[in-house]
This record gives sequence, structure tokens and C-alpha cells, in this order.
Amino acid sequence: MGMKDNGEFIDMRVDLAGMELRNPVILSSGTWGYGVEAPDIIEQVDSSRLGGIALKGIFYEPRCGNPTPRLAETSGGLLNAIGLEGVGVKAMAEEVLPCLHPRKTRIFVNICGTSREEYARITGELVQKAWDLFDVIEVNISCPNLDCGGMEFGTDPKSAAEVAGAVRKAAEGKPVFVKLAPLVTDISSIALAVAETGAEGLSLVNTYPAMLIDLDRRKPVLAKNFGGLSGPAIKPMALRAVCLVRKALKTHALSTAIIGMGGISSGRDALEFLVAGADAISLGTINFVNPLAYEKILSAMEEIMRDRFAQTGNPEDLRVRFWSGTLTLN
Amino acid sequence: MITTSQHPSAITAQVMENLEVAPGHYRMSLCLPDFFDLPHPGQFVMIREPGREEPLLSRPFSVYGFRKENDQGILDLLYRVVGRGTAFFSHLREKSSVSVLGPLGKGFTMPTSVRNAVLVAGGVGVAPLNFLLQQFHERASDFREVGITAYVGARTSALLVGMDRLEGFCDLRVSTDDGSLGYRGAVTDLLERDLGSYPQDTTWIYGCGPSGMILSLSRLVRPTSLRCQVSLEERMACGFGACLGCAVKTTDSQGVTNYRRVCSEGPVFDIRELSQI
Repeated sequence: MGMKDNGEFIDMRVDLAGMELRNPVILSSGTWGYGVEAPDIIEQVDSSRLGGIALKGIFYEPRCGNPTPRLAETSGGLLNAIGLEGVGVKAMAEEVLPCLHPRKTRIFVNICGTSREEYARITGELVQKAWDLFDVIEVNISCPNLDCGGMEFGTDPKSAAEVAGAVRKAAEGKPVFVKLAPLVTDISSIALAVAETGAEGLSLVNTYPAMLIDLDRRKPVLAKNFGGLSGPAIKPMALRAVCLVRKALKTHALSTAIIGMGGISSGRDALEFLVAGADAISLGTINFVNPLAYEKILSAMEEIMRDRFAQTGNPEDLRVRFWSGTLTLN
Repeated sequence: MITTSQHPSAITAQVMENLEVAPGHYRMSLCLPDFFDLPHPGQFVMIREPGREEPLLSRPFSVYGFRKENDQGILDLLYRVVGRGTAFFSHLREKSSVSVLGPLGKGFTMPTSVRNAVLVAGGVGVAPLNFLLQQFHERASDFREVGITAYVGARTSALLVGMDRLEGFCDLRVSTDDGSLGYRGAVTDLLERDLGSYPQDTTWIYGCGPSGMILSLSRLVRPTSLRCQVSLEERMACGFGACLGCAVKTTDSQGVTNYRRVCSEGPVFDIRELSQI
């Protein structure tokens, strides 16, 4: 609940697969380290203002990540091939998550594997060793920067559903969100296959596979040749993915939750994703531009909602959950 | 021993001056609110033009100078135009606003046991070493007995920047690739000639410059027991340890190889830890 405005309250709370989030703004995996970095470093950052944080993805074992350069800026975007450098599940359960306890916001643990079994094993360990320390398992089947694992599971409905099913079984009731790859023939069919396993939610979308070339050297800019594109450049494509998936879910009478993400940089962007069918939204690249972007985006959302209410007089316009899925297609 | 303790903040600063001090090299002074912590030498700031969507990301710059004046902090940066970001910055006028995040990273170690501080700079790499020199002088009570020698190199004399803040403040040795001023050749060759004269247990070498210079410095220092720290440069997205983009391969004393983040575990590293150098 937020500021008072002419006797009406702004209500930013949302329901995400049965969980209440204090607001719909989450920070995307890979853009906020293990949730301790920025709040620890920059005092102005206040995690308790967030709806949630998705932690940097982990495999079962610790990983070194890709060679450098791992980053390059593009027009309106950021190309990365970090390669899921990570601490592994043991350190996640025994060191990282206890550090975030008591948690100030919803914690999403993002996991990745090279086999269905690895995804299930990571989930099993988290559930067994750290049940009380996190809220959601986010399953990454969409990282474009791995030699094996990651995106290979996210480009085919059958293998996506197999991974989702295996994690769900191991999760023992902890909500499972599956993060999908956007550059596929038909994202709706993958989303439906995942939703039908009973997965509680979908994170839409991961980065778009892309590349940059250094013309003078006639070499790719990134050491790994290709990377994943994020930032404002991908926003219209990500918005389309959210819209298509929500439509397909509705058609199949599925109420699977959606976290919309892809280049969100303003309050207006955030509300567009909600209107397109997301229940919450996630910020990625904009966190690098400004680690306090979430504050700016939250207040901009509230301002747009108040302006809308001033025009319509409809109290639902002051409750952000009522913005979700209100898009009318032509 | 001081390494880092400063708390970074995200603030808006005002450009006081943005002067071309040498071809393609600029000195920018920013006026910051009082609460901005005194940076430690070797630390850096992320800078961006607020409201501008292109280029998207902030750019990292090491601190060249910092002083308090009338309840405000004055932060000096010294930069060379190398790409889109720095080209935009070079057009910033007086009174323009910039977003500043910092001070960030871990700076140079300044042990009170040091007796000889040897600064080795290539090109615009002189910036953090200038600030280190300034801090050795400002913390005179701890560092009264330190003798400071600066080895500064550039391609040609016109590109020797930051000299005004070195001359008279240290023993200064200059090299240029074309011999237009000082020793003709690499700055590390100039250092090599003197290296034997520095006592190994009380000398600290501090370096910043292009990767070729860091490599030569490493070759000089590794056979000795001289302590040597260098400040590295990498492409960064966030600057505060979250994105893992600015990784550098390091090997610790036990021989364990790992990637570490230039922005938060650096930018200053012990030169012997760097695996690829």
C-alpha cells in the first residue's frame, strides 16, 4: 500500500502464483549478483522496497564462466556472454541464502543444468538444505551463452516440459517459474507445454542471441563470438512474447503466472508489460545503468496510475494488479 | 594500512570544467555534494549523462584528484577519447549535469612501512597515480619518510598528461616512444635501469597504463621480491560487482585460478596474481 491521494490509496501489491509481492518490481537474475552486492555497496539501495530479487544463476557445481571480453554495448542494448559464472548449489544453500536471511524481499533462486537430472538435483538440495531461505525456483532453460545445457532445453516444447516436470517434482511444492528463450519458432507452444506440467509461472524472456563484430579486426567483439542481447532494444519483442503467451494460456484456461521482462527502463514500460499479461515485471540491464532505477520506475508507475485515476475515477486504476492483462487486441 | 572503506553513492554532479589538456585528452572537474566520501587512490567512479539513452551504460573513470572546497567535493577525472562514451563526455559543457556512482572498487595499498613509492604510468594511466601521489602528501604524518619517484611515459611529448601535478611533488622520470622528451623508449625500460637501486623490502611499485606496459612491468618485477600493484581497465556494465562482466583471470598463492571482478575485487591487483600477465 502506498501514498494517500485524495482519500484513495495506491496499492502496488500483486499476487504472483499465490504469493503476495509488495509490488510488482523484481530484479532479474544476473543483474544483481547474489542479492548482497549492490545493497552492501550502495547504501541507498533498499531491498525491502522490491517485490523480489532473482539471484545469479547456479549450476550444481561452481563455475568459472566465459573468457573475456564478456560484454559489449550496442545501440540501446547490452550484449553479454558471462557464461553463468557461479558459486554452485552448496555455497548457495549454505552461504549465500543464509546471508540474505531474514529476507527483506522475495528471493528467486535461478538454476541451470546440463541435464534434466542436474536441474532436479539442484532443486532437491535447495529444498532439503534451504527450504526456509527462498521463495521461488526459477529454472533457466534459456541461457544463450553455454556450450551445453541452458537454451537447448528451452527451444523445444517436449524437453522444456521434461525439465519443468523434473524440477516441479523435486521442488516439493516450492513455486517453480521457468524462464523461456525468446528466439524460438513458437514461444506459446513451449509456454503451454511448461504450464501443463503444473509449473506455477513463466519468466518471459531471457536475452536474444546476438553478436557484434569488430570491423577492423574482422573478429567478433565477444570472446565467445555470440552473446545474449538485453536492454531497451529488445523491449518491443519481449512485450510481444508476453502478449502471445498470455493469450495462449487464456485460450487453454491456464492461469499460470507471468513475470514480464526485457528492456524495461521506465514506469510506462513496466505498466505496458502488465497490461500485456504479466503479473509482475523484472528489471535487468537498467540496474546497470542506475542501481536505483527500481525506485524511479516504482514512483513513475504510481504517478501514471494516479493520473489515470484522475481521468477515469475508477479505483481499480490505483491498484496495480488490476492493470494486468487488460490489453485488448485489435 | 588503508585499502578501502568508502561507501559509494549515486548522485547527480555538476560539471565545473571540461578542458582539452592534450590532443584527445580531457580533464573534467565535477562538483559533488558534501556527503560524497573521500575516495581512496585507485578507486573509480561510473559516469553517465542523466536522461541520455545513448550510450546506454555508464563509463568507469579512475579518480584523478579530489578535494573539499566550500562544503563541496571537487572530483577531477582525466580521460582520453576512445569511443562513443568518452566522445559524448568530451562535449559536456560547464554546468551540465552528470550522474555519478562511486567511489567504487578497491584502491592501492598504502602501507605505512613503505619507504620508496615508485609510480609507473603509461599515457592516461597517470590519473590514479597522480591521486595516489596527492594522498601520500596529504597524509604526511603517516608517510613523511616516503621517497616518491614517478616514471611516466607517452607516445610523444604532447601526450604527456598530468605533468603539472607531478613536477615538484616527486622525483620525475619521463620517457616518450619518439624521444621528443626524456628517455626514448618504453617507460618500463627506463624503470629497468633503476630497478636494482630500490631496496626490495621497503619499496612498493604502483602501475597503471596500457596492457603492454603492465606486461613489461610484470616481467621486470616477477624475478624480484618488490611489491607491485597495478590498476586494470576492463569493459564494465554495472561497476559494483553485480554483472560479472569485467572479469580478469587470477592465480592465488596456492596456485588456484579464478576469475575476479575488476570493478569490485579490483581495479587494483597485485601484479603477481594476474594469470594472463
